Amino acid sequence: MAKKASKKTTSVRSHARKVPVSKKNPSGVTIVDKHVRRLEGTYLNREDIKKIIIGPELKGLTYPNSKKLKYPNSDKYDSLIALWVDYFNQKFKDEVPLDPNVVKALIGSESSFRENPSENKTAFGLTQITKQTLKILQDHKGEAKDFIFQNITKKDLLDPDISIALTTRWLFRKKQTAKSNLKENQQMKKLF
Amino acid sequence: MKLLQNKIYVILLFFISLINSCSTLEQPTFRELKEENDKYGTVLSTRSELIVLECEDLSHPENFYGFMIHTLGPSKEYFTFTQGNTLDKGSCFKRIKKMTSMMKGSKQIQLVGYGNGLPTEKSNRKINFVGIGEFSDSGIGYKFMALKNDRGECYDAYEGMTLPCPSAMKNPWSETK
Repeated sequence: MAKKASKKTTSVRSHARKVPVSKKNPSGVTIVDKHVRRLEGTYLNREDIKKIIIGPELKGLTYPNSKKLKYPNSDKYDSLIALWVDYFNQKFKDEVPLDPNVVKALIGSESSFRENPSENKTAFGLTQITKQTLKILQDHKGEAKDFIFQNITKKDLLDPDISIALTTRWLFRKKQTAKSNLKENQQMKKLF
Repeated sequence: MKLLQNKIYVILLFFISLINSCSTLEQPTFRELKEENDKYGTVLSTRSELIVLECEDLSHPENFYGFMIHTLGPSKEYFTFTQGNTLDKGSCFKRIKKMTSMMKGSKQIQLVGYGNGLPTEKSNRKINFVGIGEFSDSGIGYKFMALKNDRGECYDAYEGMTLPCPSAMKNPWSETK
């Protein structure tokens, strides 16, 4: 019996696509093989992330506490944190929403608000995302398949716009794991 | 005979300088970093022999290591400064090597830690400070931010060796020697 297709994806039949004329493609047409495409609203790529950030100013966002942490730049990313926490709280509609202070505390612990801490060779950027985590966040069959990212590279992790988005989504995944392990919906403070 | 007199003179000088250096060994001191009575960090001034550096294997599939600095306090219990993020094995052991060479020959070491310094549950683990003995946990820990020797060299928790010293928090070096 054929496997039931996921609601997050659609199957695209093999089709022709116009490309610039080159030695490889003198006709200016190439054939794209049959593939699976994510449905809109179930993924974000670099360009989508940037569009959301420069989009209209959102009102009523919950900001993390300011002037509490004593690191240089500790309040610099408050609006980004508020934006992405709101985005994913709306997306996942969990009965216990994510507190933006959790994201801020995580950044404080992981990098002390440095965009490119150079001391660790296996984790990158403000939130110290590892290659393994990046892989999971982009795997349409992986544990974060409900909502994934596409075309994000290791270099992109040095961009706070992108790393905060990925981290916030990852925290929702971790919350889900804890919820299932502990058989109850935990407050974020309890989880940490 | 004159040579013997000279030798005795040199030996005497050596002992005098040894007694002098022993009597001036400073005890570790903490300077609290505060704002509106809220303590947010500490600057510990201590000696290199009262410091033990450690990389702990976290048995994680991605081969993570935790970095810690244990330091013997005035109350004869140790305090731990812990790196906020995990490190890869290579980076962790490399920093131990660098910090050890920084501490060598330095009479005073300063450690900057983030946190309120309130005691938590004590671990049962004892730490051996070479030539001094084994000591128990004070239950007090800070997040490691930076280490500085008396030659002005600094090791930042996130950037490695840096010059000038990083202001990892609200200027921790402003009142230190």
